[in-house]
Amino acid sequence: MIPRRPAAILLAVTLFSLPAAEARPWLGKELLPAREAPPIELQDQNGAPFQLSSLRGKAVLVAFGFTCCPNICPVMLSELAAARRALPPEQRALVDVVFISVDERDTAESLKQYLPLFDNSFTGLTGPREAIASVVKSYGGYFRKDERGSHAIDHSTDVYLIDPAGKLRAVFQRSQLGETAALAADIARVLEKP
Amino acid sequence: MTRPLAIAAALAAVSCKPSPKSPLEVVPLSGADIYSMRCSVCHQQDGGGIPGNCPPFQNSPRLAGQPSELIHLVLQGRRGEVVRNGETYNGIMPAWRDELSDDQIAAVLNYILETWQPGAARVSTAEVSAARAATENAPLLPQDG
Repeated sequence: MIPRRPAAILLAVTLFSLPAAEARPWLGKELLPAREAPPIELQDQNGAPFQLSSLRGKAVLVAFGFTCCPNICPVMLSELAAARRALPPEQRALVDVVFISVDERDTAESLKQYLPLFDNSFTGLTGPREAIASVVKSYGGYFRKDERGSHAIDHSTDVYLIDPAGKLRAVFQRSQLGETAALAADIARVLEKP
Repeated sequence: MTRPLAIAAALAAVSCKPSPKSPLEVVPLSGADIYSMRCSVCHQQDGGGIPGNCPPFQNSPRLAGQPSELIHLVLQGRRGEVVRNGETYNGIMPAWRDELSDDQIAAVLNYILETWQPGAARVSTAEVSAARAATENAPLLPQDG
């Protein structure tokens, strides 16, 4: 055994020096190869022009929804807020959630009132219907008016994770968002290894 | 059929099956399970809530109040400011009427009551069904409910 000890030590050192994130599978679906996130140019909740490229250097979670949504959107945003809270403060400061309204009734003002119900740091976006439709489509999402004639809007609920370099890295299904620790770990992974 | 082809055909048949329904639809979950899956993200596993957003279950006047109000709250949700024990909270309680069955709403409410308001009366599935029928056309996410 003695001659093997250096090898054993080397193996142990190698294993323990690997970043934990590398050994852990992604919660979301990892997109390989990572590609440039489609641009987003809309208006934020303060009425100011917004460009996704302005968030370079941060991890960004992009979600679609509408402020009158009675169930899906509040839960989704609560889950994203929980994942953000689960991160240490220095990482939390580098995470932005961008909520894009697919409802033409939503305004910058309604988004400004809505998003602090979940997290003061969230960014809400609105804009011309054509511009929103273009962004949603570029991310592979969809939205349409509820066929039952209600005021609800049927929309895709995937959430997209963009890394600090502006690359689209992972997609989460709605059912995965409640796994707070794993979602936070995926966010931390793109922050630690852009 | 050759063996590789048979395996490929079997795999294709498996992959073409419709995805299974949500566990909430096919497995009879306990109130504690439903609480963990649907409620704990805001109310927290220990019922402590989120400062400024979601009030705690501990010493909650709402839990000590009428069960009918709790059922209505779960079915219709609520949005806006609420003051509890001198603290202000501003958040959204989702409307769960389309997501949870009457049995599941009764189960999760009874779990919450058993855990944080042990002396309170329990909720029956029949009470939830009656409330659901009575609120069929009521607005979701009321600000005063």
